[in-house]
Amino acid sequence: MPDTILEVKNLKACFHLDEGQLRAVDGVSFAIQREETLGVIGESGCGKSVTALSILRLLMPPGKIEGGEILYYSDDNQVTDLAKLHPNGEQIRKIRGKEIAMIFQEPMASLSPVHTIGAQMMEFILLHNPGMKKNEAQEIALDMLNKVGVSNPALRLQNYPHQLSGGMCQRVMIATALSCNPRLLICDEPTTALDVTVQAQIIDLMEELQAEMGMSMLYITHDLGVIAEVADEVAVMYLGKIVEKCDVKTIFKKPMHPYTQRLMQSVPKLGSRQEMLDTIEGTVPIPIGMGAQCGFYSRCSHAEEGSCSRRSPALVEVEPGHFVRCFKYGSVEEGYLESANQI
Amino acid sequence: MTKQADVIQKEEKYYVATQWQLMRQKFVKHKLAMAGLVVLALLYTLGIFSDFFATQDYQKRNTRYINAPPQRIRFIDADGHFHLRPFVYGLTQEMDPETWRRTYVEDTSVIQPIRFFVRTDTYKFWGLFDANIRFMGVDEGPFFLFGTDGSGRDLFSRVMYATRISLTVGLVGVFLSFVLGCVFGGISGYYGGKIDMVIQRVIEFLLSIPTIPLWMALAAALPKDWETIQIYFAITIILSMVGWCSLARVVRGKLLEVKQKDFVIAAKLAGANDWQIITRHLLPSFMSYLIVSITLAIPNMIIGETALSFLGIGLRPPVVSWGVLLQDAQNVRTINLHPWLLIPAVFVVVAVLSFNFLGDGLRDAADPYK
Amino acid sequence: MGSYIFNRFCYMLISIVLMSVVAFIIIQLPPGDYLSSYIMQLQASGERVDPAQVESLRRQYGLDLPMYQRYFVWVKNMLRGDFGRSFDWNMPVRTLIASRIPMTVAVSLVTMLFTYLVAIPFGIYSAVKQYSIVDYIVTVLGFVGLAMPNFLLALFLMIFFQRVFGFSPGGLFSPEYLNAPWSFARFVDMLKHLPVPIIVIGASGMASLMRVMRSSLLDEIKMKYVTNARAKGLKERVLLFRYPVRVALNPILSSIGWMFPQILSGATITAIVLNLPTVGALMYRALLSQDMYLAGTCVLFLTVFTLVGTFISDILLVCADPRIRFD
Repeated sequence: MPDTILEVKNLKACFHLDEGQLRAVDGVSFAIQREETLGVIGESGCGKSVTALSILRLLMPPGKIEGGEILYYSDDNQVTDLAKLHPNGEQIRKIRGKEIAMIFQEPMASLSPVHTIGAQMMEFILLHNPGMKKNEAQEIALDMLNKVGVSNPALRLQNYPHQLSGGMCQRVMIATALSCNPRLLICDEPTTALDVTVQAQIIDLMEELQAEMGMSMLYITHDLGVIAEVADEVAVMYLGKIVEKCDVKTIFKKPMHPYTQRLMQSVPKLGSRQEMLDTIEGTVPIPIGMGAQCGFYSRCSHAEEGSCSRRSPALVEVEPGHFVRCFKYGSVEEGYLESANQI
Repeated sequence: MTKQADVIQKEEKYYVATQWQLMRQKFVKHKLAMAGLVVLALLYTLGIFSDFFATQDYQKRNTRYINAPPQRIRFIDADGHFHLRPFVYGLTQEMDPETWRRTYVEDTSVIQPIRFFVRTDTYKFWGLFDANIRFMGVDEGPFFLFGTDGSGRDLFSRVMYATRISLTVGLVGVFLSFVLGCVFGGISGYYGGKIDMVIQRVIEFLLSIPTIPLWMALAAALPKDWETIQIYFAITIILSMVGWCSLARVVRGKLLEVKQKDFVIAAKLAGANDWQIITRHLLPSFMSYLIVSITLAIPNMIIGETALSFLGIGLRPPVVSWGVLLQDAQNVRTINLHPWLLIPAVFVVVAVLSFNFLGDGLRDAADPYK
Repeated sequence: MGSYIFNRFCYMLISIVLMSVVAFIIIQLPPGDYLSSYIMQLQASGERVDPAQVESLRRQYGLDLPMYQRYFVWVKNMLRGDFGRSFDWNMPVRTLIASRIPMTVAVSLVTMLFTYLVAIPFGIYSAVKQYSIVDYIVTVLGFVGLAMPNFLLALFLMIFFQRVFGFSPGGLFSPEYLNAPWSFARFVDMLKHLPVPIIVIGASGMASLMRVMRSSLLDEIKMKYVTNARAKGLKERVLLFRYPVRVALNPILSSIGWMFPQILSGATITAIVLNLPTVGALMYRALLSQDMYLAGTCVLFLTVFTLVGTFISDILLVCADPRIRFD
């Protein structure tokens, strides 16, 4: 039985805008192992959410998947390339919610304002369990709400989203997502919109549930602290590309890519008497009509005129299990590797 | 590389452009709105200089040409010769011996070239000073581009004058609504509390009344012996009585929204007084929305006036507005016989459409950061 | 919930009282009172005026009292069912209005129903298939509907029907059925006459409703909860109708509040042009002949009708949108 549950290969997604093609995801590859968590980290606008939406084929026009494969390994060892499926077809709908569930950033906005919590939860439970009776579905919903620590679940089922707090809504979202026992849970910044204390509770809860239900997770965030807590493996994204990938310990102990290093430095450390926080100067450039160059070139302090400004580095394994995309570590130009078929 | 620099430059331009610059850019992109703007500019020009564009006195009765059809402007005559100067044929009247109905046929033997900036009889421009030049005319004989009505009055000239009246009714009415709306909406939104409650209830009440019956009742109650100018203003006041409500709501809503914004609080902390805050900070921040509401309110005024006048309880002859002109086209029989009497309707529809397009474009442009 | 309805009800009552004041002022606006017109009318028809009868009428309508007291007499009479007399028709106002109420209510409600039945599906379709041919047609028709004044549309349709179908759509009945008792043939005849008034009255409302439906659905489709529901594996069509359409219907529902005045407004002017037997046309005639008791009562009736309609729509809205229930 293979250990991999989802494998993304060279995924490319574009937005066709009036100003030109915006390459939101530009050749991303990663794999998620059974019962493990892949953390994806990066600034806003680096393509994390687009990657997540692409997996479930939820990318809406003007966004479009341009290439690559999204291989899903189901329980019975069937391999499906999600990227080839019809975005609203029967097959992908069977996978959505049932096999791969997703939790979004803003819990309040992700629930319909005019339906009760119970109606929304039960709709999905019944959808993926045809033939189930209504009261059975309600039992499951109650059970799940109990599990995620919602107080007085029977009452909550009658409530509307606006009557709950943000944290409570996110618990409901989690309960809904888990009510069909998905094998993979994609979390797109599930705690960003919440208070810090609530954040911690939700993260603990998700770790607990993951262990209990034995599912894999793709956890997207821009918060290094969260990553340290939940992830087994970490991928750092910048400008639609993965710039560094390794296990969670290594990334904190020995970050190699200049971007990752700066990211680590921008976190305030307890006990240090720094006056100013280190920040990364500038903002993420908009990836429209950019020529071949390292995406981080404009903000990198190690950048070298010539190599970095004219060629785009490839992701290479610098140490066992540690992939970096930077000429500093002897990376070669992108395309060279692909033609040599080494990845 | 240069491509990227271009993008960055574009982006910077976007960030440093003022709000009005962005709005203009966005507005110019809206094709329909631009078309509306051009058409309206044209109509208002016709309206303002209607004495000049009219081909004759709009009250003059041409007793020889009653219910004459529009004359076509031609370049090619019956023999196939091309004329550089456009011309119209003369008209001859024929009487149907059985039905006694008058019909008109073009007299192809009489070619009347159209001359521009012609000298005619003296008229009072804007009722103020004497003038005797009109935009176009013929040397002699009939010249009825839109035909004539049952009294032999030239419809083209009448439409020109009506354009002035109908378009200004909208403007004056909206100006009144604007003043009322700003005052009441401003008081309501800025001070809040009990005053706000009362004003809001009054507005709700006024908005729940069906407008046409109320307008009709009020307009019908105007004394019969009033001067035309009194009637004109009375009608605009009646029209704006309901119009100000929605404007007041916009003002109030925006005020409430903006009042809590940091820049207003900052101004307060800096010691600005109420007046300064309202005029320097609050008003500019939602001026664009007000302009949109005003633009969309004008067509309603125009339709209101036209409807009232059409029913004979709005403006009264000798004042002509589009509605007054359409009174002649009240029944199907007349329209079947003299379809050109509906020409003023085209002007109404075009003007109202243009205002709607313009308002739509302005609404999109009003929020350029979207 | 209960207290909200109670508040709305009280507010409606206050509005009706206010409106009765406005109607009363309208009645009083023209120079001369009702009685002098009545006497003049009697004299014109050569009848002898009985001073005792004049005196009793004067007392009945309180015409010798100051204005504000007269108002109360008027209201008191109305509550007893006496709305005054129409000297133009020489009939009690009550009989006149009562004979026209069923048609007025029927035409308004049918138009309302038709407006929503057309506007909602087309609004949904043009939002879902944005920039399709149907979307463009809907947009253009929407603009025309907004720009075309009711009475012009009525004129155009009348000409169109006469030229194409060869019958005049004026009125609600053909002449032979005008005073006939209700029968199936009369009903069919009415159905033949109904489309024109309904289209005319409904056009502008339909146009704005379609635009509201389209734009609010376009907004809702982009909402997070739609993506979330899609991520759960719901079918596109089920998803569309269960979530965004359901939410986008709320502004439509609340539009009943302003649709009612608009439709009655449009119905008034259309009734005049098309000569429909409704209160609006009655009012027009009354206004022209300065038959003020009749005119004032018509205004009062039309507004009370809208106020009640708005009240009902507000309650519907509270039932449909849980978000405003606890405000």
